[in-house]
Amino acid sequence: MCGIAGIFSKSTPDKQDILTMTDSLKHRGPDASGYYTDEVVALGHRRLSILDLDARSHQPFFSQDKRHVIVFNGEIFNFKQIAAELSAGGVTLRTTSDTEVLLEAFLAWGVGFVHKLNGMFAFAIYDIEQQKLFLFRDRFGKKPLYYYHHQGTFLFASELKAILKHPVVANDLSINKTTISNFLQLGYIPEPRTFYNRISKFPSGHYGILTRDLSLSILSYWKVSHYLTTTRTITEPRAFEQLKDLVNDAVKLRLVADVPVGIFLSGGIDSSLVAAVASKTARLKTFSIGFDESKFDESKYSQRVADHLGTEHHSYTLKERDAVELVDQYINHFDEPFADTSAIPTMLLSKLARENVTVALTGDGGDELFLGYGMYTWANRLANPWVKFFRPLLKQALRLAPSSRLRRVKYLLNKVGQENLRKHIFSQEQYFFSDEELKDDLILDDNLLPPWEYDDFQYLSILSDAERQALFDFQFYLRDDLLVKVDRASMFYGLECRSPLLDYRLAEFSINLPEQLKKKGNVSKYLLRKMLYEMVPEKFFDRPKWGFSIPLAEWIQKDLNYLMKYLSDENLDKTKVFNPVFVRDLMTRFERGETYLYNRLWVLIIIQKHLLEND
Amino acid sequence: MSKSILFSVIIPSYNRADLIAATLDSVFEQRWFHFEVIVVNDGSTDNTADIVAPYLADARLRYYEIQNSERGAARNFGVSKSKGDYITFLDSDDLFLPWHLQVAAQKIKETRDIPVFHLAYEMLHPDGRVDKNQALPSPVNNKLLEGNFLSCIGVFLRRDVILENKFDEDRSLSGSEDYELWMRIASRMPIITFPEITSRLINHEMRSVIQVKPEKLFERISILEKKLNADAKFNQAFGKNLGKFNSYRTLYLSLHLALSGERWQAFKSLIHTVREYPNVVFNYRFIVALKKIILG
Repeated sequence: MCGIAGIFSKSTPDKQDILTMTDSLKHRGPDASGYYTDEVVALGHRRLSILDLDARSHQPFFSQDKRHVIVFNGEIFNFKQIAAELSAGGVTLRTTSDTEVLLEAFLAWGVGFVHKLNGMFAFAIYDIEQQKLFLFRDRFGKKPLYYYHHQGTFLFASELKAILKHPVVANDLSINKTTISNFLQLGYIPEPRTFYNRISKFPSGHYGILTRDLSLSILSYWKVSHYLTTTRTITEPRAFEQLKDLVNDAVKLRLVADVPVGIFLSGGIDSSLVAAVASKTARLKTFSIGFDESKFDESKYSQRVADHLGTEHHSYTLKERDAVELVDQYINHFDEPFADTSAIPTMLLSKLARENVTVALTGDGGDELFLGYGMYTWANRLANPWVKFFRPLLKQALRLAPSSRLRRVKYLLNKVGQENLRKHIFSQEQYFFSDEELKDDLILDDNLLPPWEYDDFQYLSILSDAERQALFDFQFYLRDDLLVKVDRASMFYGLECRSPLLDYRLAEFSINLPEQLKKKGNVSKYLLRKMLYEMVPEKFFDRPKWGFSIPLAEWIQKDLNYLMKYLSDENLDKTKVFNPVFVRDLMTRFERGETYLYNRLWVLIIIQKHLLEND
Repeated sequence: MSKSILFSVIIPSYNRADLIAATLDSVFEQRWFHFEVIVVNDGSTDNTADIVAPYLADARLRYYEIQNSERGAARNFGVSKSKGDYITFLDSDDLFLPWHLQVAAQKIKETRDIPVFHLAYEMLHPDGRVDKNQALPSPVNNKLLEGNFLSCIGVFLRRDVILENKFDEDRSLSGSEDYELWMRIASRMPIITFPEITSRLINHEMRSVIQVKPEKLFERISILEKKLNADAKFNQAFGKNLGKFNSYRTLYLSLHLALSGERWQAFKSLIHTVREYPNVVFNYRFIVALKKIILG
């Protein structure tokens, strides 16, 4: 688990540039650094040692014939199985690391070998003889990869900050303002674009080939929606058996490490399931945090699960102050607008866990794969013909509703086209801006409102609206928000997070389960719960779902009020993107008690800050 | 490395630049990654070449341009450039499901290299309807007398089989060239079918099957019958069933005529089908044709 960077250039790369780029990723790999340079290419690597702690596995790592060299960030969980296949084919391995397996497997089978990998990864393999660079990114986008490609220079790195450090980029950086509207509705900038022109997110589930003339091909090897079938015949008992096998194996594969492994245990369904399965093999350390002042303290629930499983539980109670102090750091660390403040508790938890372990398992993915979010119910409700029929009436009735929940419903009832429906439901569930607000009130220049294209799988009539919404989340929210958050927050402290429920086999399995096995009546994540309740009593989980969040609305009113300066008339006039009258109106309404506007203000604050600082 | 089956996926393409990227992605997303893709640009006048260009970076894809000819000729050309143990065909607007080649490899292993087999496919319509062709008998040989139930996308041919039995390149056979080949192969060996659905056809409403003129179809059917009758192996295998075969071909024509509003012509053909093979009256298509003729 590490940080990688590289330069591929028409002129010989400057060694200092790769050093600077790689240095900026030091937090991702504090244990070692290494470089490869020649007249075409420079590769850099920061290492966080997890498997084969020996220096022989340092990177860049060369093939036995020295023709190929690899820099690799991530883990291949089934590397032992692949190693066995290689050995059977006559390949002798020199180390016990997954890096060598990766490189030798590529040489044995070619680019298609990526289908054999079960893991989280972003890696680059350079063919010194043919001067060809191969890039690979995992199916879900768990491990990050960004690239810059313009006029004789190709750069790649695990984080944007490394690319931004390169002089060619630094001297010619401009903002891609067409990303603003997406950010204001989603809270992140979706793949493949970034906040900057000419810098892209390398798409997940793809591999890339860059040739000497700097032409880049990016090809797909996996897309979850392509696994959707048009019939579902599996019975509950069979599905349950398969689920158990898959979860057990996914957890088992992720416990392999040459360093201590722990678990983030919130006490909810997903993390408790992972902890329960993992505890069958070993006594593990579990971690949770809560805030002194918060009503959302889950620590007593996680403690109860930990006691039942007999884990060595570390529960930290923090002051909100600790979190507030991290706000600036969090905003800067993500290098582009990123509004998900649950990054802050994730950072705190990672920091504390890192004192005891180097690897932590998480429960991420359960909600998207097993219809865990409330918004999926909304997706189904909005598709109901009765709701459609009465929509204008309902909207009118909710116009003056007092509670923020009902206000949200009012916005949800806005009529939108099918291509915008999923984004609309997501943005309104998250209290972000609606299409109407962006177009009619907020954004001054219509050119900054590019059309949104999304194929909602119209040919697959088997999908319910809830499932369509979950698929949307899987392809956007999970990839561009949750996984980015977990990677950046944990790697900030050199902690590696692994998400067993995001084993690709589980994803391919769950998307074709009958809907009632994912959500039975009002019970979400039905089959996951069933598995969990065989190991931990059901009564431990009899409570409403809470996110891993901070009380942002309160903070904006108090400790973070200073950030409102970014929305001052003067600053709005500098950036000239937003309508100051409307922004002022939002702020007034928020101060008068319409606190549900907090997330709208938050995305505005973040984007304004980035616009001003990059000006 | 352990020896694994190499598939050749032959993609003839004529003016499908807007759809071929999705088709190619569906090949590169195959879990069974030991394959070669041969794209034969059959004289396209659109930007097919530009769309295919990025895929050339993957050495598994090879691209050829030929002068516009029949699909059968383009497929034969692709075969001549292939090296695979098994050959399969993919039209440039259809999709493999990610497990297509993996299931094929498994079947080949289980049956110890059967010469020819077919995996089921489904067709998705814009209104959400799905047609599946899972329930084929196996071997499907005799059923083929009733009509072409096999799609190129589902057929796998062992290398020696396709080298000995090429597609007929006669232009007047166009549209039935695959059927003609299956019948010739069915005259020589069993064609095994499996019910697993591993590929997908999307009905883009413009599918060429629907737009054929009745006269063309009539000509096509006569040529098909003539060509097959000239094949000794065909006569040997299906000689006593020729009436049935001819009857079903004419039924297909009759139905087509009825749907095009040519009710009198349709009626005449329908009478002909009964003369050739009286049992045809029990066939579902016969009833549909009759109904169309009577009720319009």
